[in-house]
Parts: sequence; structure tokens; C-alpha cells
Amino acid sequence: MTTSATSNRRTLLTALLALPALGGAAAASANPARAQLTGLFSSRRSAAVLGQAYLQQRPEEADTRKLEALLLTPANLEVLSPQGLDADGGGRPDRRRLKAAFQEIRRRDFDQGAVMQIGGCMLSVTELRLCALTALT
Amino acid sequence: MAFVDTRSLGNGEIIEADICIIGAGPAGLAIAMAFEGESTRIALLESGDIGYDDDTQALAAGEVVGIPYPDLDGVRLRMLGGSTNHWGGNIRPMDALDFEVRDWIPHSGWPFGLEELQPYFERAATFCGVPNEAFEIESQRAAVSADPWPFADDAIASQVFQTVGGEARALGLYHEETLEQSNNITTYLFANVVDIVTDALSDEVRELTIKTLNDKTLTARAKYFVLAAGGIENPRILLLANKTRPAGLGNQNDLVGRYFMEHLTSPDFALFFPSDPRLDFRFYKDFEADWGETWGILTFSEEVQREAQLVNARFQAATITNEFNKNIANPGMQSLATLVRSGSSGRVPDELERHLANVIADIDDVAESGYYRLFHHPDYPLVSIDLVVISEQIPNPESRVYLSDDKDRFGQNRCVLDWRLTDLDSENLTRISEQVQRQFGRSGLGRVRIRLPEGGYAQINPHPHYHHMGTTRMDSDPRRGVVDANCRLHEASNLYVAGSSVFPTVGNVNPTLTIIALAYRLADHLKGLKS
Repeated sequence: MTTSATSNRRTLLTALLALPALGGAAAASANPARAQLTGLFSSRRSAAVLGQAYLQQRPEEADTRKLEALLLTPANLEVLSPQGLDADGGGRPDRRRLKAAFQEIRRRDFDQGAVMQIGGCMLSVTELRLCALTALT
Repeated sequence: MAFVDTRSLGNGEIIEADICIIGAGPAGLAIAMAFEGESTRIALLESGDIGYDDDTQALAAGEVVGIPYPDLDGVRLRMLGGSTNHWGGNIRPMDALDFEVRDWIPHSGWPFGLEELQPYFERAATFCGVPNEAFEIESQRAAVSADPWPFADDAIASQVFQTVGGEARALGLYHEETLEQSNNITTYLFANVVDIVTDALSDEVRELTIKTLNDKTLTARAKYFVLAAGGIENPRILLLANKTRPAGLGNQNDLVGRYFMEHLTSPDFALFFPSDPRLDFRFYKDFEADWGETWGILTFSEEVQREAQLVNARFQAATITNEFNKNIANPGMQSLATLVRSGSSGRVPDELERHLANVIADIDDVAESGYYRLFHHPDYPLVSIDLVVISEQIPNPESRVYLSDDKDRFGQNRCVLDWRLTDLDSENLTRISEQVQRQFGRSGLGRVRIRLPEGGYAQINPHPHYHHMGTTRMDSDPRRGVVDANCRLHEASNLYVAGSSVFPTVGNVNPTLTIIALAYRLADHLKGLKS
């Protein structure tokens, strides 16, 4: 891992640690990592529809902080941080690189069986959590 | 020699030959043609005419119970060339795994492997006018100037299918002139075999009893006999040969007619949303070749089949829907648009489908394509491809052909088709759908949506292909098969069976190429016996 990536990851973890102290709406605007990830959807409405379908099956995850914690696990950050995911708002990640990194996470989900059926379609749990986060914010 | 109208022969007349073949469909024709020009005298007995004959075709009627199936006098043809007269012409050799004993598939395993049949597959393709290299990925890639889809690894493999051209497809007409001019093959038209005559104390077939629609009875004698009348008629003729063997000839272990199999297809079963709407699918579309058509398909690798305990299945791209064709502004996209439009189904997507497509394309978005700019549309373009799934049926002894109480005009019992699936077939469809979704998802190519009827997989009515297989299955052990590895009846020393009725399992490919390959192999065996 590069020095820059390590630094990014450290910054992000620091931001995550601060999340529980933030209110829901405040957290939505205050967490750039969340904004960067949900910003991968050009159609937030479609993402929200799938996110609601996901939350119907897993209502216990209907909490932005919980979803963020589940999304930004150390394993996911290992993949996302080197591609510029930035929690302190100081950087502007390359959207294409971030998407490619997200594809890696999704492939891992499919390999590990971390998938769920929505409307007859098998989707990765990570991308559905991102949809759910979009639905809640 | 040439063609003889059996109706014009004398009542009680005796036909004599070295080898007598019952049925001039693809199997019977291929065996006869393998002897063309040699000294062996072949009598090819065909129930029908060179063309279609109503009265003869009526003999094919039967009863259907179990899974709904079209009328039996419509799903096979009694005429020269047999059912190749309504054949779709699709051919490809079976896969190596199809021949193995697979412990997750009951009653699986052939007495030999692919390597035994490979040279005959090559001859069979030539018989159909298709060059063998046409089955190679590289040939297809070069011909269509397109690559197979880049999956994450080889869990899903692309293969190439061929469609035999129209002229060569009706095999009887295709070989009519050769048969007409042959010096050693005599084709007897309107010759209906109503009995295979054996002695009670001998395992030899003595002769065949033939009847014509103008009420003549004849006899055919030969050293060897080959039953090649199709997957429904083969067991019927054996079961009717019950004068000295009350259970029917070859039926000492109650196997004749059992294990009837079809290929299982569920139309409108799966829908593929590519993550990049510009995904090139030309490799999987029909492409006109000199000999007919060629097109790509997808299958699971051997490893995936073993690990997930799957039957062999293939996926074909069918109709393609793209609702944004009309918005294409960029001339560079016009050829794609034309291609897409040609396969457009005009299907109206449901609301969830649109949301799924939006999200799948957004997140994957392998090429940030500028598609919005090209298409001037606020949503991501919804492109979807119907994937047709065709799989083998698991051998099932309760799925069967047996004799009806109804009689045909010769007083012969008609047949009953009782086609049945098992829970294992439904479970396999579930596993196939999970695997195809998983493999497309991990590849990043897009996602597959499975569309199930209410009630789930068990409610899917398979679409019949008119592939009638397994009813005189091959096994070296007479307790498990009607014929041995040489396709000889276990119970008769000089009677052989040809056609898809001998298939122990059926793979995902259409059966005709394998039927012809096995026919060539049987012809070689018979030549060995003669010499």
C-alpha cells in the first residue's frame, strides 16, 4: 500500500470513528465518503427504489450509521482508499477509478455469496447497502 | 435397386439383404450411406413415401399423458429423411463431461467417452456439409469480427453452434439421388414393420413382418437388423415384438420405453441487462455462413458443473430490446442501432426493470460512455437480452413410452407418452439460475434477472423440442440398459438400435449430430463383423 493510500485510509477511519457523534441529517452532509459513494449513481431515484427493497428484507439495517459502518469496513477500505475515497473532503476522487474499485468489491461479494435477490435479480450486498444509504439520505 | 414401392410387391414376398434397416431417418440413412458402393446388400425399410403421406403419417398418432406435449403424429415424420424434414438443423458435438458418470445425476454415464465418438462427430459434421473447424471459437471470432464476452474467468465458456443449411437439412431429399442410383442399397417405401420375429429358444432375430396400407404382408430377412425408427417408435416396435417374449423384445428388465427425455427449455426465463449498453453481442447472433448459419452460446465450465452439481445447460441470446434506438444521434452508433433493432422484441419493461437497469449500468459503467450525450436521454438506456436456457433432463425411469390399448389400422397397439420430470430437475433449474446470475454478476458484464411464474420453478412448463431420447438406453450391464456399448440389443445377437433412443444422457446440444455420429460408429462395427 502506498503512503498516500495509508494516509487516506487513516483519515477515513478517523472520520468514521466520529460518525456516531453526528446526527442523521448532519452526517449526510458531513460525510464526504458517503457522498462520494452514493454519487456513483446517476439515478439516485432508481438506487433509492432498490435500497428500499433491500431494507424491506433487512429492516435492522435502516440506519445510516450502521450502513456506513457496514460499507466502510477495513476490507472495503483496502480496496476503495487507494482509489481516492476521501473522508476529509480534501480530495476529489476519480469517479471511474472508484467505480472500478467498487466492481472489485462486488466481485468479492459474488464470490463469497454475499448477494441478495431483488425482483429476480441477484445483486451484491455491498451495492444494495449503498442503494439503501441513498434511500435513507 | 433404388426405390421400391412395397405396395407394388406381391403379397407374401420375401425381401432379402445382408443388413435390414428399419427407418430412413437420420440414423438409418447414415448407416445405409456408410455402406454405399460396397458389396453389402442393404434393405432400407421406410414406413412412408419420399414426400409426406397423410395415411402413413396417421400411423404415428398416440396418446399423451403426464406433461403436456403436442400430438404425437405432429412431432415426428414418417417419410424419407424422417423428422429431419422438420429439423431446425442445429448441430454441435456433445461435451466430454456428458459421457461421464456424474454422481450428482442419477443414471448418468455412457459406456465410452467423448474420445470414442470424436472421429464420428467429425464425419457426421461432414455428412451435414459443415466443416469441423466451424465449431472453433477462433473461426467464429474471425468470421463475425467480434469477440466472445470477457467473463471474469472460464467459469462460463463460449461455444459455437452451427445450423445446417436448408438444402442439407431434409436429409432424405439431400441423399435421394445417391439412393436412387445405388447398386447395393434398396429403399423400400411404404414398408411398415409390424413385428420383429424371434424364436423362443434363440437370441437371434429371424425376420421382420412388413405390412402395407394396401393390405399386403411381406417378410424381410437379413443377417443383421438395425432398428432406427426414432425415440418413440423404437420402444413401441420392441414392445410389440411380444409373441415369444411377452414383455416385449429386449425388455427382460423392464427398461424398454423408460427414461424418456427431452431437452428442457424455459422461454422468457432469464433477462440479461448489460452494464454497458454498447456491449458487443455479435458473437452470439446468427451469422450466415456458406453451409447455413453459425452462432455463439454460453455454457458452464466442467468445474462449475461439478462444484455446483449442475446438469449441462446452455444459454442463447434471443431477442434484444433497446428502447432508445430512435434517439441515437451519433453516426458511429448507427450500425449497433441497426443490429439491435433487428432483434428488438418491442417488449415493454416493467418499472423495477428500469430501476435495476439504471443501477446496474451506473455502478458497473465499465466505460463512462458518454451515452447520455449520445442518446440525449435522462435515464441510462435500457438494453436487455432474453437468454434462452436449454438443459438436459435428468434420466427418470418413470418418464416413459408404453403401449396404449388403442390400435392403429394394422391392429397394432399405439403408444402412450408419459413425460415426467422430477424434483431434481426443478432443483437444477434453481441452481442453474443462481449460477448464471452469480457468474454474470462477478464478471461485471451486467446482471441476469430470472423471471419465474407464480409457484416457482416447479410451475415452469418446458417447451418441447421434439427430441425423443433415452427410451432404449445404452449400458454395458443388461440390468441397466437395453443395448450394449455397440448398440446391440442385450437380448438379441443380431439386432441393433440406432438413434437418440440409445442416449443414456443427452447433454445440452440438439441430438441429430450425435445420432449420425453413433450411426457411423455402428456402421463401422457392422463392417467389422462382416469382415
